[in-house]
Amino acid sequence: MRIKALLGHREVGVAVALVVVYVVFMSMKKEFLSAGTLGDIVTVAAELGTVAVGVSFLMIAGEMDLSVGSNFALTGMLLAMFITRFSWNPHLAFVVVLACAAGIGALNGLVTLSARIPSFITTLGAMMFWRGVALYLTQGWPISVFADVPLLRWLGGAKVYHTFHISAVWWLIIGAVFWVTLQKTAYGNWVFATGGKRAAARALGVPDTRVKLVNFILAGVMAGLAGCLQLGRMGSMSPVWGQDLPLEAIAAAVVGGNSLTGGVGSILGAMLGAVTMASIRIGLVMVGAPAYWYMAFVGFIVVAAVALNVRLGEVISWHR
Amino acid sequence: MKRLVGLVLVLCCALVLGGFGSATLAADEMTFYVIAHAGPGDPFWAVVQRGVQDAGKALGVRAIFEGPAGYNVPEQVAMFRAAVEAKANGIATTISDARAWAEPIKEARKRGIPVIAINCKEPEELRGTIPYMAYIGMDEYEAGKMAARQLLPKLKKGARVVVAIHQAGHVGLEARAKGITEVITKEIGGKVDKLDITQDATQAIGILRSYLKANPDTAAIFTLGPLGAIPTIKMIRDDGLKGKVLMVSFDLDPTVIQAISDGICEGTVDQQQYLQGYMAVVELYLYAKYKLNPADYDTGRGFVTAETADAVASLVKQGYR
Repeated sequence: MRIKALLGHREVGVAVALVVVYVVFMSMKKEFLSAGTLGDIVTVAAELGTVAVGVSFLMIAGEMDLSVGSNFALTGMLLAMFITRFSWNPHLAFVVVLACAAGIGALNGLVTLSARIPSFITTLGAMMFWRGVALYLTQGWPISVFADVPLLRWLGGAKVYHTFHISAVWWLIIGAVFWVTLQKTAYGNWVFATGGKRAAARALGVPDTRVKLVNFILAGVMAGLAGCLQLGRMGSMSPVWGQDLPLEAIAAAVVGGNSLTGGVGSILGAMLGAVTMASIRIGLVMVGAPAYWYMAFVGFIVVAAVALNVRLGEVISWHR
Repeated sequence: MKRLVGLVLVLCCALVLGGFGSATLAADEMTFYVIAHAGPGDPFWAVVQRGVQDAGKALGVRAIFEGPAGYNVPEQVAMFRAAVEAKANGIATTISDARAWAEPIKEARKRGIPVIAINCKEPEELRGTIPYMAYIGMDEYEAGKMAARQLLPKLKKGARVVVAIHQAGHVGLEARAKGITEVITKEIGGKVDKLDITQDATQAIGILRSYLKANPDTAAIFTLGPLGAIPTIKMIRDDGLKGKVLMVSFDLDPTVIQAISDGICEGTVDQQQYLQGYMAVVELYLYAKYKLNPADYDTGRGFVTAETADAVASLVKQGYR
């Protein structure tokens, strides 16, 4: 009975995938199971995972955001520019760029909801538009912050232990907040209802349009924040970075048990999805396989984990 | 439930089978990584990868080339960190971003892993801030000087030359231009103009034409890469300037090699990136085995002329140049 209850969780697919990935890499390279490697994995997962948490929240409400990668690069670049070229107070700059990221999300939401076009289209356009703006800002050049800025150290530069960067701590806190909001609050119920049966939700008095708009904004803020975390860790941001991020974030969400059509999903699953993908990225290099295999592996895991989830769903319903 | 178990088993098998057969590593085998900011999908890096693999075979060690699909420094840094965790016997990396690399390389060195830089390094004003042991690549400034010297015998005293820069502000290209300018002005008292021709081929031809009209005494054009060379070659062909205006370029490209064979272009500087992969592994190996300290290696001493153009063209096809 307990096993069945356990198998009913949406995170089972990704948990199995993660275990398999770990077993395979560990058997090939024993150093894969070390604190240093784990720190590297979590650090890589933190930036992707922050985006994936926002994207999952939006996906559960039945919408999509493909512009997160451009938002990520643009926000990081703006923060670097405000600090280096305009000598703004870093904290003020941080607040302003997060507001910009929220604005990009809000614009996605407003256009999608008022023009009644699929968010796939709106955010596809936004993805190209904001990437173009980011490229224009420095004519394609990366921008670096060489000065020692405490804010950037706090965002991602500092290490809490061994190879663990502080960005991972922020990510875990953000994940926890989103998880609690989704699972334990009325707003979380509204999000599920909006993405599930919208008409029924509306009949029950759920402000579905407002929920979607808020989630678009949150997805934007998370993408922008991830850009700031990466700037903090690397000290540089290029307008061409984060191009694969939208699809990677969606892959992490889907591997973690989120549905593309909304109504169901899990924040914890998306976070495990991000860890799985980061493990593959680091593991492949450690065993000396060509980095191209990353995409192939992720592709395989996406399909396998989702298939496993569907299968489990069927098994559970047969036994009921 | 059986199906579920089956699915999991298939998943495991596929992952293990996809394990590239490298699971049976000799524990004492030396492993070296060369990590670039772009992967072998780019023809330039495919040649570097060839160098890495050939060196690995020649020395009987594991030499691994890694690089993200597109220009992506965060991903490159993640690969570098993974190589550190894998306890590599040595790592070579490109200094693709002076700010982003300082920290990871310091850490790797602190953990006792030898690191050398290849292909590109930090700008002059930051020299010494990143603790790599040696640099293997082209010295852009020296390459500029060499390109100018190749042309000196054909230039009169006080000749006017133009340096066509297709990406103003690019540190590497500016260093090439500086080297050219110094040699021409100091050694034959020539006049050197720097001309921003942009990356747009049509605009570039327009800008160069108007320059030549205003300065009909121009003896030579230096282009700093294929993006500048291709429009220049077209202009020389279209306007019948062959033999009237000399041209020298940088980097290999089929159009440029053809122009060299045709006598339109005097020659092109080749940074011989195969050496950047090969020598990186050799130097790291010698350090790991005999504690021989890695030394800087200037790979930019290649100059392709009409005599060597055909041979080089076939080597390009084979993936060595």
